[in-house]
Amino acid sequence: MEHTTEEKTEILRAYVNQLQEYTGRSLLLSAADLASLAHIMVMRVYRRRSDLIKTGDKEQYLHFIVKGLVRQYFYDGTNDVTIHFAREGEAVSSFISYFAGTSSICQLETLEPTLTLALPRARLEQLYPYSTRINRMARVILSAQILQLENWELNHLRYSIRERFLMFIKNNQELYHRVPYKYQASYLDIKPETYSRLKTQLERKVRAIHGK
Amino acid sequence: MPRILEVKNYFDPLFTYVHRYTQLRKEELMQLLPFLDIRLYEKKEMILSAGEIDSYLNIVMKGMARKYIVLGKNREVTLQLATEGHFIQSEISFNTRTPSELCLQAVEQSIIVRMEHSNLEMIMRNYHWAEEMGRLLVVQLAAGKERRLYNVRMKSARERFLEYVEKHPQMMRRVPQNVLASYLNINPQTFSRLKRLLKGKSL
Repeated sequence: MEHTTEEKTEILRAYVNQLQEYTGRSLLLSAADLASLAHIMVMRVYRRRSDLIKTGDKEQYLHFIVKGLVRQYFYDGTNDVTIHFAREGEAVSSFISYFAGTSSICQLETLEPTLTLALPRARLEQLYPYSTRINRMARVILSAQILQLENWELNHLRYSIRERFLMFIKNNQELYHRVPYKYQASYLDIKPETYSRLKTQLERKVRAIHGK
Repeated sequence: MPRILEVKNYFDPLFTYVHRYTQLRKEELMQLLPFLDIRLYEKKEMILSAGEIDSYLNIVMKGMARKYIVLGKNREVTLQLATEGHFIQSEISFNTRTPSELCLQAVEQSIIVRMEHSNLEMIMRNYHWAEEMGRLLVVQLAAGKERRLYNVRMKSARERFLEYVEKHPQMMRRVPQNVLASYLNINPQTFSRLKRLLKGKSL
């Protein structure tokens, strides 16, 4: 199931539009830039519950998810803190490891069978000297990661456990149904039992409203 | 008589700080000079208040600044402490041009070199080396952020305290205790206790 260059370019273009909206920065990638990126893209296929990258490894890929769901998390052998769920249309990677060449401090695992189109690190780096716009794209992708981490941190500070739970469900209906509950709990940084309790309370309220 | 601050008087340290992240050349920094601004802030002076849009990329030349959020009931949480050579800004506000929820404040009397948002954009467009420099810089900023988030979430209060003290011994002296406690996400009583244990060397 190989992707054509046009399909790859479309996927890139869709991602770039999304990135521009999220960060408020325009990328100004030319058709030649997109063609160069599409040319180096490789297809990656992962089974459910497999690792894209483990802590300590060096990230080789910047993935664009064509199909599937990926969890980005910190794990040290005991603690498991989820910082993001990425789905179709999103880019996923241990971004800092990828761009800095350092060991990854986060892990990525698939929650479903996943297909990605990925930019291999060494080949992307070869493009930098030829296109300042591709440099810019790299910078903006990293800025997006900074914004995401900052938003995650601020949400944890600003809102109570209950508020975060409700916000998560309200803003991520699809994830609520797709992601196993223990991972949703990990994302909200709450114990699975707390998650269950909140979920039960919510369902009771919803039934009461519909019951009327 | 107030001393007039000029960026060019800080050229050498500025070059050193930026060069270690980006391989920027001296000639390139010279080209940036007209776009840089320099300001002195007194101890506890606000650099950015909540509700303002952050229009500046700041680097601390002397002193220390902090980034923090005020949560209900006058509870403050410090998210970053930036000493000499470090960048500090309200990223979300700076990038998305929206009012900042976070505040920036001088913890000590500080001298800060800064670049305005529109100048940054212009430099990126007009100097071919600027995008690469920008990329290398943002990689460092992102790495610092990820590392801090990891430490705050994954390590115990005791581990965080010990690592921090070992890595930044001078900070215990320079930063008010309540600010440091909130920065390390350690409750003030626990922080006091850890400090006492450290003094007594039973840690």
